[in-house]
Amino acid sequence: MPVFSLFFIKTSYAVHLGPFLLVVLLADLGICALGTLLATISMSSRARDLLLPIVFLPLVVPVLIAATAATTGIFARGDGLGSLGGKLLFLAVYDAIFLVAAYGTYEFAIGE
Amino acid sequence: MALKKLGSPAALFVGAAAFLVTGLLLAFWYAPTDASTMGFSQKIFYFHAPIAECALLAFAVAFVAAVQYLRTQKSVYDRLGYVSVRLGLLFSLLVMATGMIWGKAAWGVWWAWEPRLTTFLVVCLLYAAYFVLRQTVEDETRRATFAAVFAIIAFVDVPLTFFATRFMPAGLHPVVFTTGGARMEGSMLFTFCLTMIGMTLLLAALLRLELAEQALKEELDELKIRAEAGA
Repeated sequence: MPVFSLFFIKTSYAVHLGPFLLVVLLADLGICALGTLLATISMSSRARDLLLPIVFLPLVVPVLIAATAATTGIFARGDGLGSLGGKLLFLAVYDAIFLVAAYGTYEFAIGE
Repeated sequence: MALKKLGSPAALFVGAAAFLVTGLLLAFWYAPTDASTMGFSQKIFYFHAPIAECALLAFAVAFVAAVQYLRTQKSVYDRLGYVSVRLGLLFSLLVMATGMIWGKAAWGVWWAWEPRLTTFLVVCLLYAAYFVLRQTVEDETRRATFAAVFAIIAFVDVPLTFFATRFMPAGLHPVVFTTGGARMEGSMLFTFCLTMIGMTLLLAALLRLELAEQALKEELDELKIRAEAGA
């Protein structure tokens, strides 16, 4: 979280902290799982600094869209966990799929 | 290999042509013009949807080939994966082209940022990245392994695209096949099935042809290397 977000904090935001942290946690988990696997793959390629964004960005876009939609809902409309259910479920399922996929394929990606 | 039993590429091409031409004729002279606002432009559906299904099918083949490659390390599966991603991307671009034409006619815009279109674009970008990945890894076994890993990861987005219209009903994209059955008339469904079978046969034919071509290319490369070493 950027430090300057402190300037925008209002006291009423405190009640939203729980759902917000949950969204951040789920989104970060997805980004980490994907990022680690793809970084390992692109490390041994010739154009590593070019390849990583090309493969990483399309895959991380669904996570970003869901997380942005969820945080918008939390702060703009004060959505509780109930109305966030769909987005949270999507994030959780996406995370779970990539954690399993990454766990299954990491051994091959890391190579020799 | 199971694919060999599908028949020769020539036979598959003839079958595909027969089904597709019949489907095309039926689409214009047998199936009724759509009663809703789409009207005549709905005819492109008989090609748009089968191409889309074939694109996703090709990616599914690539996924299975990738899993098989990681399990057995046989280069034939790497070749199959490469060829089916190539065809899948080709079909995806065709889907986008036909979809844009239809979108312009039916919705009035070439492109809308709705769930199905956005997720499909993401899938296209992903599989385009597959080629970048292949180009930049030099070692052959590493390239095959990475490509397989990436094909598995990328395939996760394919079901997401398929279900985008079902889970997120806010989109413009119509859902034709629901759990309650197909939402169209019998004659339309019949025509659609014909073009669907035709397009799948075409995919199978192209897959076999490309597979043979790729094998020949690899053989040629090997021969060139040997000739250079000998000279």
